Amino acid sequence: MRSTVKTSPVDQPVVLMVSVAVLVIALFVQQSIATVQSLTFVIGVALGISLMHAAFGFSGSWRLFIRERDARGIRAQLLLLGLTSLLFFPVIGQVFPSIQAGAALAPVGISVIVGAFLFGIGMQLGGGCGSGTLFTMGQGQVDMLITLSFFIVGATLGSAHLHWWLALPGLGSISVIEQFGWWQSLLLQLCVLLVLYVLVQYMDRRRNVKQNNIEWRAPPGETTQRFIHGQWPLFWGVFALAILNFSTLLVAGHPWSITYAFGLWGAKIWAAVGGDPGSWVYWSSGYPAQSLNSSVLADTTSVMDFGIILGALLAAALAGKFAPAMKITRMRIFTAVVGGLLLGYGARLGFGCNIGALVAGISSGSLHGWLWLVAGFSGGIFGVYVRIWLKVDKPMAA
Amino acid sequence: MKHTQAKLIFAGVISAAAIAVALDHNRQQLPIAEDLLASQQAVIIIDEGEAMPAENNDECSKPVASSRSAAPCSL
Repeated sequence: MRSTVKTSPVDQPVVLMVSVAVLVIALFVQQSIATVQSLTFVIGVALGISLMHAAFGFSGSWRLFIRERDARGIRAQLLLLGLTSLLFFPVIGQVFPSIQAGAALAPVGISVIVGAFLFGIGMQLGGGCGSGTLFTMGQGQVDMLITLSFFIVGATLGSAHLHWWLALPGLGSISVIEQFGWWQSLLLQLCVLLVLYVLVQYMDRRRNVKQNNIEWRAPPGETTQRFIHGQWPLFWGVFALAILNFSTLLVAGHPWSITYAFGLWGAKIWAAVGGDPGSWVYWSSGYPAQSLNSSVLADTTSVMDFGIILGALLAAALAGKFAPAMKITRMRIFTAVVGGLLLGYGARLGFGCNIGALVAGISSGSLHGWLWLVAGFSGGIFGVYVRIWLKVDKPMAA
Repeated sequence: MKHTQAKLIFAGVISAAAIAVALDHNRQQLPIAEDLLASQQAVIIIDEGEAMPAENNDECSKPVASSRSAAPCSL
């Protein structure tokens, strides 16, 4: 059978350099910090490879659904939530007392609503979400360097203002696992996810004559080639991300998160140029204070983010897609700057991004995750219209 | 932007980031591994009406006996 995969030459020098770098960094972190930290770095590398090879993005798939009702990406995300919940709920529900792992709990309040909404807009303008920004930047897309830079700025600003937002009305943290029991809440959650899955699939089929199917497996004879060089079936990405997120929970003791590191990096940079983020409420106590005054390699989220970037870089080189040529217009620079700021500020207010708040929150049984989903998707809809207004995209068909 | 230009820019950014990480690592005091992991699992429940953690030295700075927790401050 003729291969359907269009192959590009592997960027061998980059593959070699990145492979060596991953090994060196893993060993260095293991020696200077802890073996656990080194393992989380390796998990990060695997996440980067998975994200890149499966092209598992949230922003683009949300936009595709909003504009064309193409629900493939959203269905994959719902599958990811379901699979991750199946893995997380028993552990967080203390079915295995020997496993020490914590949920991604955060307060339900105005901060999450505003933060997620801003993040949703930022996703559409910036060109990616939390994970999307990292893996596309790791691929070498120069415009995403701009998005990431301002993502860091926005997250740092958000950390400066968070105490004000948290003073606004809220309900506190709500865990459905603690409220209803782990298997009862898991059953309820899976039912909700199933309803959403059927709903978006119905909307897709109603609008599109040609059925948009999720690719579940590689065509015969292409499994190995696709595994190494990419263009993974979407379901491979779902499976890999769920397993790796679960691995993070077991190894690090908490779910995979991304954007805390951006605020930390920004605060450290601000401190390095003479600022005093340690005097800010957010950075003045607890883990934030400790991480600000410790090596960045001691922060699990940072180490995993470094891993994701390198993993995506490795995957891109294996696929022959590293550092693509691209035209960066002034409008693209503008949307990257504004989008990055919204992403960062929104992520801080919303206690995370699509991964840290949406996936980790929902899969941990935290109600704030569902609130994040609703507000974030609403922001995404608004962001799609902003793109049309800015003439980045054509108007939607009637 | 051409492929080669993109590669060079990317290489420059990665190099700068690596230098920054190295400088930060050498400047900062390393926490003990066990303490570090325990603190990342500290629960932080910030309820409406409560003072911010730093103002009354409460949730963000408290260690927690139970491992059934995560820190929203570190999400």
